[in-house]
Amino acid sequence: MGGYGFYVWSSYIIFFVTISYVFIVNLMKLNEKKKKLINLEKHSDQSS
Amino acid sequence: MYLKLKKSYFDVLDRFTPFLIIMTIVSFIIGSYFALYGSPPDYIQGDSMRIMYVHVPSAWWALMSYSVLAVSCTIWFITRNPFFNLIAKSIAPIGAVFTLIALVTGSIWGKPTWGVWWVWDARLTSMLLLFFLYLAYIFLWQAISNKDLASKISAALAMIGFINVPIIKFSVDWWNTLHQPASISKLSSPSIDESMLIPLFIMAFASLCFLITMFSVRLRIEFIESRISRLRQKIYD
Amino acid sequence: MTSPVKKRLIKFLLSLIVLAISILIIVYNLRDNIVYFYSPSELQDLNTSDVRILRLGGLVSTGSIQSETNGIHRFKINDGNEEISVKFEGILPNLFAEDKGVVVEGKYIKDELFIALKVLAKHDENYMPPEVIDSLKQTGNWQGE
Repeated sequence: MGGYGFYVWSSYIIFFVTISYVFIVNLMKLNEKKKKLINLEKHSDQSS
Repeated sequence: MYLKLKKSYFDVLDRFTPFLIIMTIVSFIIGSYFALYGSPPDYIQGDSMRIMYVHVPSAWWALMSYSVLAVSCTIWFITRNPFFNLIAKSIAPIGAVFTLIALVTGSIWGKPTWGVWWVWDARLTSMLLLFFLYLAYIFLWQAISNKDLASKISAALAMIGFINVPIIKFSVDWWNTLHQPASISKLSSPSIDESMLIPLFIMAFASLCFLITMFSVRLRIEFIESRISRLRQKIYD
Repeated sequence: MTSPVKKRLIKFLLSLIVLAISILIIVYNLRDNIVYFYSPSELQDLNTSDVRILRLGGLVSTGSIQSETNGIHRFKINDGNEEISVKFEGILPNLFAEDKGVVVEGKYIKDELFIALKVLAKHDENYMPPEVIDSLKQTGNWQGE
């Protein structure tokens, strides 16, 4: 990388780590919300 | 006013997600290969210009996301259709992440090229302002518990903040900035060689795939959240 | 179109016009302050009696770089019309070269000398592999500096 290795690799690592982190966090949040919704739907069926 | 959207529309998104994820990963692998190995270094900057392949697409999609945010806030403001609120709330954090990536990778590129990590020229300052606009939009939603009020204030902020988008785009043409002018928008003699355009476009496509994947995931989160709060009201009222 | 929607649309358009006008006024009045650096011509037109720190940008003149052993560098910056001599003590950035863009930060003193405290290399918008530049130069089609 002709002396620029540190800069190039660190920017690619920052890029991919950030987007992977964002992806995983949101996917976990989606599954959590899905479970919550199913529980609530059960609850509202029982109460009605 | 309640959401008129059916749950089944969002189930379609569920089925598309694996396809979108595969598209994102494959195009990132191909793009990274061309960006890091399959393309020549620049004649002045050498290999440090490879940072451009992650920096420039991030900046493009950060600006595009803000345009989507501002337009959907405007449509919500006029029609009060809550679906556009969901779009705006879903895209804001993704745009904020792209803006942050553009700022950080730009800074890493600036050090070996300009000799400094950061300067307060018009392009860099307006890009930092874009990041703060995204943050303000996200925090307003969290800070104001009255959802109707939160919608109005955050929509107003998003609409006023849109002024910043053309300022970012044209800052390099209007004022003397340390940041160089755009290389792609010029139709005359190409400022970027073809061998460097290929990795740039593949990385831009991959980043767009990632944006769409994240948008579909976040849209479902927002949709489920709105259903949860509606169900809660029904149960406890 | 229902009437509340129409009302909001009119309100929106009205506030848009007001906002656009006010932004135009602000940007028009700020235009000199947003400038990150001055060109040599602009700098010579400025009132240079004040000694505030400012920035000067342009191309490094061909054959003007003189580096002394004690880390003092002298070079000239031009914009095609005017030329200003610059003195700088320190380490120059890697991309600093003749006929390339540069922005220096420091004080402009009389006798057309600029004492730079900081030197930033300004990159242009061209991205080319070295082989392409060589072939362009051979065929005489290279339009860069």
